[in-house]
Amino acid sequence: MIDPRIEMMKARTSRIENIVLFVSGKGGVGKSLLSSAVSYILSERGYETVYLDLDFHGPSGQNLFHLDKLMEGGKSGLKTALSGKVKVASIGYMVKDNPLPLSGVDRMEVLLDFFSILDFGELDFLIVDLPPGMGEETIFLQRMFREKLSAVVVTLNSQMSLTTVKRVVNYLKVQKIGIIGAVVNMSNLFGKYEPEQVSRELGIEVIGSITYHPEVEQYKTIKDKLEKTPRFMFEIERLVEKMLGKLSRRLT
Amino acid sequence: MHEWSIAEGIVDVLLEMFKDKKLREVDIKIGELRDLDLDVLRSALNILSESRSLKGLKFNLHVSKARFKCLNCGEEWGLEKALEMVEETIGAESVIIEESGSELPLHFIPSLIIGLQKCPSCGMMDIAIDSGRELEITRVVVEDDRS
Ligand SMILES: Nc1ncnc2c1ncn2[C@@H]1O[C@H](COP(=O)(O)OP(=O)(O)O)[C@@H](O)[C@H]1O
Ligand SMILES: [Mg+2]
Ligand SMILES: [Zn+2]
Repeated sequence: MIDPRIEMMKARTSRIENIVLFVSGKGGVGKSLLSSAVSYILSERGYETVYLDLDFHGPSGQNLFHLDKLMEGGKSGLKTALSGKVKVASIGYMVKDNPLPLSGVDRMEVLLDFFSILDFGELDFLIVDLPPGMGEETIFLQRMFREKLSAVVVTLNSQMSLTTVKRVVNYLKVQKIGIIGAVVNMSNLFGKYEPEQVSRELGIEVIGSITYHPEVEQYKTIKDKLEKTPRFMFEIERLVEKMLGKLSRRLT
Repeated sequence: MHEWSIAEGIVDVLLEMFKDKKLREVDIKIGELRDLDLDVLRSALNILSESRSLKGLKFNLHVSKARFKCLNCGEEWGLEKALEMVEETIGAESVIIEESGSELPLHFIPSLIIGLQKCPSCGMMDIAIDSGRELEITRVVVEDDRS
């Protein structure tokens, strides 16, 4: 049995420069918030960016982005949705609020189909919002696109979050996936270690520190969250700058 | 519809895997959940293979019927029942729009149908797709090397 989707996928992703994974050990640490914020800022700065929501159990793309244009099927496959300048793809648009109890095989099938029909076009960044841990999504991505992958590790500065995320970091290292660095989220709420200690604990550089901003929760879309919370915006801008610096060093 | 991109994937993978072989026949299995237009797919395959050094290659397309199975009670059902349930869960209108109108293009990612139905007998959501989502090259016949 030969699966033609692998070649379709290669063709579709051939013009993507960087695939950046937002990973964590646990849920609720801010992967979706930060990956969508980073996608927004990158797009604002003129980088062609897709925010891809691969959290099949708790897709957030449909909530964080107000869509000007829906995902649409056409001759060249499935076009990403548009929210301002950000391109967005999420299965949340298809299954809405219905639960999606997928087995491992089903999940791989969804990934193969999604990547072989999504019309990415030419991209500077494919930002991937992942479920926590090292499930099928992560395994699939590293199997298919290892050379293009790099990861941003999101963690809280708490013992529990750091211990679990460390396993993910080890996995990324073993699989030779470039790690851009760690982002410590809600840094004012948890303060187990100093930044240098976090860095030593995880064995990777801390490239960003994001404060918990209660105002962020008042706004629905990532655009509003950022634009109406200037301090949050500032922190994300700084994170993006760090990421860009790291990536250009890695790429040259 | 995206028959052309699928045809391209098929031709690409054949060229990749059988670089210097002459191919005579290829069997392709397509699940009915993919809702592909076989005539379009066949002519796309013919045109692409002619233009890309696979001249004279014959494509046999087989459609496999959709079968769902409840892993809780063993109930089995097919496409018609499944589509009824999808309509009930998600309604006729949908967020994703086909060029032709507003139809849920589930056929792009058929496995998502799992989240849009419940077992018609016991009402549980422990559903397996036995068949109907295939997109596979199941057989390739290589010409003898006599040329
Ligand atoms: N720095 C922050 N300031 C305010 N709210 C935050 C912050 N980080 C995360 N949150 C909120 O916490 C919740 C969980 O974050 P989320 O991004 O969904 O986590 P994950 O994707 O890792 O599961 C969301 O409601 C999110 O808006
Ligand atoms: Mg999330
Ligand atoms: Zn049942």
